[in-house]
Amino acid sequence: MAEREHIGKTTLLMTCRFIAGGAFLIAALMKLKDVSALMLSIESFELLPTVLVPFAAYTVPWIEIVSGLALVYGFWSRSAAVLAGMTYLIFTVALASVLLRGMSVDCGCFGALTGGDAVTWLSVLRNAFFLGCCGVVLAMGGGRASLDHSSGHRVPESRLDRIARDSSDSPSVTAEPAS
Amino acid sequence: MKTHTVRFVILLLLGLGAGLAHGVIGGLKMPEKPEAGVPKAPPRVQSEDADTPVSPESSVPVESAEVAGGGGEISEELLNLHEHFLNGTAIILDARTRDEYVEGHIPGSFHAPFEAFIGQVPDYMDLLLGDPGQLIIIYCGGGDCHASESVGAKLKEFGLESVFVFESGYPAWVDAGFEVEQGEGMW
Repeated sequence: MAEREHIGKTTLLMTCRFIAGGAFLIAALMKLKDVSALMLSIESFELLPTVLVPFAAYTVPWIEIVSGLALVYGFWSRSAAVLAGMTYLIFTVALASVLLRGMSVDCGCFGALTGGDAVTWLSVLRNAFFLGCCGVVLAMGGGRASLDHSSGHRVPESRLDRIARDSSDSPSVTAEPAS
Repeated sequence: MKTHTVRFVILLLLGLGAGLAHGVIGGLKMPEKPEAGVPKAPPRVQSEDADTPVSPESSVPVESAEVAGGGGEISEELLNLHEHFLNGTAIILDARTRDEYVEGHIPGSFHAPFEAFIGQVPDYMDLLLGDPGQLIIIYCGGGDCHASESVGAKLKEFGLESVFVFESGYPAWVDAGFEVEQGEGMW
């Protein structure tokens, strides 16, 4: 029973890592193919001063690559999930703000892969889903099918893990006397 | 917790460092400003039998603007645009968002946002390229709006030469009291 739970948990975490990290990797590679188009997309959002647009256009894809690779390989999974999650959160807020301002702009989310991909509420939902995947990895770690696990990295135990471990202990355990 | 924070910072710095290095190699600057080279004011309407431009005072029914209750000072570029509008001597493009266009636009203008050029070629380019010498005037929201200049630069890239921007934009047209049209456009 416990083994089945482990398999389920490992599969869930691996799926979340691959979805969130894989999407970042694809998006970053597509963006890097045409950084100029990405600059125009970022500028059309009208959220950043023009002087910061090139900085964002060059650094965002590389942050996506670093966090995406770390997530896919399960290396420093929780930290990577935080970085990816924060990035997805910024994207989600930016997309929502564009829609709330009634603007019609190109998403630029996946670069040349989707071409003129207009921002819709579906784009916001998609990002929210990726954000949820990062949340799962953050809460539960990278799982057994990760570099963190196989390389013997001691992943710091999260509160959720601790609660799960405590609840799975035998009911006959008695409270330790206070020392 | 501290371990996670340190790892997070390392990953972030890795991403920023790689991005900055790439940016330094790439120049870290905006692409060639697309709006460069697009005249900021529509030209006057040319008279039928002479090369001299028709003066705004003689050809534009300014009364219509004043009667309509504009009241404010009407610039020469606005007069020229209105003149072309009345004479049908220019294709007028609206580079604002669809919502803004639907809410109100210059009658007969076409909705042509810059986003339509990102990663694709708008269908209406065939129509515009059918007569490369046709005068085209583009406007957007005035003020800080640069969409009209971006669209103008794109049109120039396609080889259209008589492209002009009406810099004061739609607000100036409305303030002058000229007629407006609502709803979906022709493309």
